[in-house]
This record gives sequence, structure tokens and C-alpha cells, in this order.
Amino acid sequence: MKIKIIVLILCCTSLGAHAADLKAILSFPDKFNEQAVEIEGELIGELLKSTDGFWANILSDGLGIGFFTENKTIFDKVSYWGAYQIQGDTVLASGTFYKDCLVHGETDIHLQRLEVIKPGNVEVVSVLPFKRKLAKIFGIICLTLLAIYLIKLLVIRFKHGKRT
Amino acid sequence: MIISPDRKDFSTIFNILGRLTLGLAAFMIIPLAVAFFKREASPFYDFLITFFATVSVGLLLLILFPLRKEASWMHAFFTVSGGWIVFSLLGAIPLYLSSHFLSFVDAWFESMSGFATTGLVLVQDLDHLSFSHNMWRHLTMFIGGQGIILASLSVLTKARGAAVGFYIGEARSEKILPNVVDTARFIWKVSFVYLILGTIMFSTILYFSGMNLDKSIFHAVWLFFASFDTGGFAPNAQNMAYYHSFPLEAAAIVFMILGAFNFNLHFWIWMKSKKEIYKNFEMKTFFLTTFSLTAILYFGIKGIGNVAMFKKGFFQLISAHTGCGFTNLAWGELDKFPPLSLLAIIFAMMIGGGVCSTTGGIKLMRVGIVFKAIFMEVKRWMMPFKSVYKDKIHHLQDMVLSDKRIKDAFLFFVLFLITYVGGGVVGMFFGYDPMLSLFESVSATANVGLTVGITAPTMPLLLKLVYILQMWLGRLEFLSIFVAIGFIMSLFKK
Repeated sequence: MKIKIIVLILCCTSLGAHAADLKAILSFPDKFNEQAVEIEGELIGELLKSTDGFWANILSDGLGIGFFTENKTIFDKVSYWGAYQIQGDTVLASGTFYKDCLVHGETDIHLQRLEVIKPGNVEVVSVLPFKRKLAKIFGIICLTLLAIYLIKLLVIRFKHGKRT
Repeated sequence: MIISPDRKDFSTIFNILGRLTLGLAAFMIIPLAVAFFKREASPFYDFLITFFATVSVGLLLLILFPLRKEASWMHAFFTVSGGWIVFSLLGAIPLYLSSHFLSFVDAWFESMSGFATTGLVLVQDLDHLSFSHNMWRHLTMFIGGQGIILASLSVLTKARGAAVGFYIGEARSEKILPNVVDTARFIWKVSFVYLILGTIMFSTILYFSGMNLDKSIFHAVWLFFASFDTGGFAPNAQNMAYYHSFPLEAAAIVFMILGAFNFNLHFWIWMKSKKEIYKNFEMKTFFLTTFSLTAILYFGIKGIGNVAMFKKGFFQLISAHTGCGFTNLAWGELDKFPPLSLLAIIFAMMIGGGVCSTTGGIKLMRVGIVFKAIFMEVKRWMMPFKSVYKDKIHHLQDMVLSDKRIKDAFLFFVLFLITYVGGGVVGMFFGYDPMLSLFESVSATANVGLTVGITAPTMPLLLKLVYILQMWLGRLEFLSIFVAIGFIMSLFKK
């Protein structure tokens, strides 16, 4: 019975959720305050601990926001968190948006459901050929100038030595 | 009689600039090493190219322009003002090569923002930026905060004749020790002690927040650079809001305030008397302005709960007042602050921290003197006609508030105000809201870095260049730039 009620609440929450992009939510925070919202985005960084639960940051359309949850198992299916050379899992996160969360004192979303809709992957950034060429060219220029400078120094010292 | 530079002077200036450029190249070894050890191949090449290019520029200047004269004040002012442009351009190369910037101007903007410890950003997709590029972004703040020239001055010996000129040219009007080179070294010592403390404190908090040890140390170092050097960069797009950590924000407040202290005050507290902190004129001004501006800010944003009041209100105010620019607000939140609260933050940014600190803005000492001078004038009018009245302030020792001191304070006060308003007008010219334009202009000039959304890769090119100019002017406090321009003008009068 208890499980059925929870499922019913979850269904109602997701049915009533505003499927809006993060920019729209943050542009009109009063409109979405304490409303159920659904955001699609990339998980970035790592799962962070706090005294009362866990935090995940989601990047959506170049903007980030923190999702708070007390339930760590919600992230069990997550395999990649976005970072350099890592495309994090794309998730659909639903929860309640708080413009000024009274508990955490920030703009956040209290997470209720998280669904991985596209797994992330490791993206190795290869070195572009022009960079290798440029490094060689500047390396040669640098060494040539260094040689000229050292010769110039030696000449000056030699002249100075001759004078004294 | 105005001294006009000749060919020998320019040769000397370029020679010193060459030496300093080699100093900058030495700093580039750090991100290069990070890229190597973190196995970031593409960034490694970005820094290798930049390192070779920087060394080449330095050597070329040394070869072409021999040191023809003993370095003097004039050379120092030229070198300082030109040096910041050269260094920010060279520093922009690895950023541009990272492909995280729309144009070279954007990368230059970011680089100048770093060196000037501003913290305004144009980087894209920051959350996927490499460790080495992040190291460079944050290192620019450390180098700039300490003073690029000052940094080199600590290790160079040939330019000691112009040491005072370099020192003052980088907007430091007070010496701590009789010798400027010793002063520079003391500033570095203080910074390194705090660097160790800050790294330990920040990394411990981050490690216990679930970050792995290696990453937590990197983030700790960057957060220290950003807070103590009052830069305000962070390795994530959400800035401080990424961490969701109250202890971390509290630690950041401590280091922001320490960074905004006059280095002389650090010296006094470390070496002489701890009581100075209560008596010091700058500290009294800081407490007074913080208290009154916090009250105004809170009045504007009341009713959001105590935790939010602290995090959203007080944190932002301290960040603005110390010129740091850290923020824990969500995107677009600051521009929705009530006008009264926004105004409180603008005033905090305008004032800035202590003279001889890493902050920008008019500075506490000057603001304090300007207000004290106004009170003095009122008192004077209330006294008998022939009476002479002089007031005192306590800054390390009791000092009479002389007319020269008041004139200097007013001069900088006016110059900053003109630049703040000027930048605001340019913003308005591009169609931005007056209040928001003023906010962004003050943020750029006072090297703060808080933004109401105007600073973005899509903003007009001219506005980007205006903000670069404002960051440069604000960081060097006009003097060295104006003097350098004056010397150039004198060439045409010959």
C-alpha cells in the first residue's frame, strides 16, 4: 500500500512537472518557484557530499544548477561525469525548483527522479597537426634566437675582456 | 621641464620588457608541467607553442634593444604600462588555442581579466576545460595580483635602479620595508605562507566533500589564487555555487578579506603589533562600509531566510568589497536583485580594499580620507575664522591629514568615478540598462568580476575592448599609463 502511494505521488509529480529549459527557469524564477520541474542536461564534475545529503551539478544549455538529494542510490546508474575529455551522462532530472531554498540558502532543485537518457563517453582530444607544426617552428626560432643571444653575449664579454 | 624620451630610452625600455617577458615564460613552465603530468596532449602543445613564442619575443627584444641607460622612473612607467598589454596578449595565446574562446579578443579579455585580477569571463564550456588551462587562468591572477613586474623584480637585479618606479607603477603607493626589492620579497613570502594555509584548508574541505585528492588539491590552489589575489575565477561555470559548501564559502570569505588587507597591515600584525587591526584607519573604514552596505543590501533582499541572506547577500557583498568577484548565485540572479541591493554591491565594488593589496577600486584609505576631509571642512566652517584645524588618521602610525594627502585621495576618487561612469555610458550606448551598464563598468574598472550578464561572448566587440581598457586602467590606477602617454605626447612636441 505504502509503495503504491509513493508510486502514485511520483507519477503525479512527473505529470505536473514543467518540462522547461534551465534558461527559462532561471529567467523566471518566481514563476517556477516550488514547482516540479524537469531538466535535461549533462552531469558534470562529481557527486558531492554535504552534511544532509548529496549534490550533483547538471549543465543544460551552457548553464549549471545544483540538484540536491538525500538518496545516493539515485546515481547508481550514472557512469560518466563531465570533465575535460569526458562527456558526462545526459540525464533527465525531475524535482522541485527552489528560488531561495530555505534549507540550503541557494537556488537549487531537490531531486526526485533521475533517468540516464544518453550515456556519456571518453572523448580523447587529439593534437591538431597545425599545433605540432607551430610548436616545431617556434622551437626552431627560439633556439636560433637563443644561439644569437649567447653569441652576442660572448662577443661582448670577449670585447670587454680585451679592453681590460 | 618635462623629460622627453629618446632612442636610448626606448632601447632600455624594450630591453627591460624583454627580460620581464622571459620571466613570464618561466611562469608558463607550470601549466606546461601540469599538462605533461596530467597527460593532456593538446594543451601541452598549446603551452609549448606559447612558451617558445614568449621566449622568442623576450630574446628578440634583448638582442635588438641593448640596455643603453640605467633604468629610471620613466623607463619603469613605460615598462609597467606596456608590459601588462604584452603579457596579457602572450597569456591569451594558450587560452585561444584551447578552442574554448570564440575569438582571440575573447581570449585576450580573459587573459587581461586574469592578470588584472578581475574575474570577468568569456570562456565557453568551462566545465570541460583542461587542468593545465585552468592552472594558467588561475596563475595569471596570482602573477597579476602580486604584480607582474614586482614578481620579476624579486628575481631581477639589473632594474633595481628603477625599483620604486616599477613598484608605484603597479599601483602600490606604500613601501613595507625601506628597500623595494625587500618589500617585494616580503609580499611573496606572505603570499606563500597563505598559499600553503589556503591549499590545506580548501583541499581538506573539498576532499571531505567527495572530490578525489588530486583534484581537490588543484581546486584548492586555484580557489586560493582566486580568493587571496581577489581574482574570482573558478574552474566551473557555476563559480562557487558548484561546490554547495558552506565551509568552503566561509573559508573563501576569510581569504578574500586577507587579500584585501594592506600588505603593510599584514607586516605590522605579523612582526609588530596585533592591536593595529583595531586602530587602523583602513580597517575602520572597511568595517564601517561593510556594516552599512550590508544593512542596505539586506533591506533590499529581506524575506529570503537567514541562510540565503548570508549566502546570497553577505557573500556577494564581501566578494564585491574585496574585489574578488566570487559568486554563488545562479545565472541571471544578480540582475534580478532589487535596485537598492544592487546599488549596495556597486558601492562596495567602487570602494575596493586596502592600498598595497591585490584589490582594485578607489581603495579604503582614499574613500576614508575623502569623507574625513568633508567632515574636516564642515568642522572648519564651524570654527573661528582664523583658526587652523588639522585632523589625524591612524595608519600604522598617527598621520596628519595634510592637504597633499587629501588632494591625492580626491584625484584618484575623481579618476575612478569618471572611468566608472564612462564605461557605464558606453554600455548604455549599446542599449543596455543604465543600472546594469554601471554595474558592469564598475566591476571591470575596480577589477571585481561580478556580472549582471552583460559580459558574454556575444557582447559587442567595442564593449569588450572598452572593458579590457578599463581593467588595465583600474589595475594600474591610471598613473603609469598616463605618464607613459604623456612621454609619448612629448615626442610630438619636440
